[in-house]
Amino acid sequence: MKVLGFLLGLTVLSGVPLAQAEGVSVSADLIGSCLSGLEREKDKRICVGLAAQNCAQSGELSACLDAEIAYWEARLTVGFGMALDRAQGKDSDAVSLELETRDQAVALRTAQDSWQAYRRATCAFEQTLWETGAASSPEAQGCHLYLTAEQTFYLEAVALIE
Amino acid sequence: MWKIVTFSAAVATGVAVSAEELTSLSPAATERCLAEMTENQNPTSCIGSSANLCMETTEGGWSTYGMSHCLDQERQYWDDRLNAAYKNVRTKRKATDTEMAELGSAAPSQGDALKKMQRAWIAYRDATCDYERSLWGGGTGGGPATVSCLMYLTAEQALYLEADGLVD
Repeated sequence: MKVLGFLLGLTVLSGVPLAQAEGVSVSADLIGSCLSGLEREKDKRICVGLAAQNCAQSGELSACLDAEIAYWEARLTVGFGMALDRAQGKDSDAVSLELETRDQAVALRTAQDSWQAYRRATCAFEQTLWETGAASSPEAQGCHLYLTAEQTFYLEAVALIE
Repeated sequence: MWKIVTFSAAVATGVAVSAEELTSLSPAATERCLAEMTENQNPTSCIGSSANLCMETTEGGWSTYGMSHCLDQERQYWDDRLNAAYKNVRTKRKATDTEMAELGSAAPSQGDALKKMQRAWIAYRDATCDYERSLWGGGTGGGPATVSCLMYLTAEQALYLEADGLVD
């Protein structure tokens, strides 16, 4: 059973040099070079959080995490857009070829909405586990960071399915 | 995280088999993979090991029916683990809620947040796997693709709920 995501190039990386939040920035190049250096079977998640750690050597950790979250949020939006384009293309092909309609675009939007709710509820749960119970705690930020990056990888992969 | 497997080639060449001809799956391959993991390996890479072995070693394992059967057996294995892990976390989190209430704390309920999370996860799982089915249109790959998606997501959530940090 081959896993699809690793076959794919990382085409969306270029042209986004820095992600900024609260006056600090994380290096998109650092994330990009980590991902492009990965072997196919390797888990892309090991490249998540590196940029924030690097940024935290000179900046405040919380702001650095926010900056990396902003990077993944932007990339998630692009990934969703690409996946939606693909889905809409397949849906209109089905119409013009008089194939059974699949409503991939509707299914994708529903899936993405449900993912948003899942991320919100998961990170809210994790937040209750920490003493401060604040959304700005590194743990709650980490939850947001990892889940957003994972969904980004997923959408970037499905966007490239033939 | 990767819920999609490629099996279009196998779908086309599979032979039909009945349920009786398929042996039931042993989770041994998945468990062995998890046990032999190195430190920097992600446990999610072990998901599907048993289903794969089942497809490879069962006559008709690569038919649409065979794949669905093998994948569903491993899905069931992870679902059992998920349920056990969920109950374990729920017990611990409810105990914390009780302690906090006794201390007069106004901290938000961990048990309630856990339940909300799991409900949201179920909706996410179903919607994501519906989407994956839609990728196959009316094609025969839609069945195994859906089961594969359910297996991966269920396993990931089981591994998440088994994390020490949620019960400490």
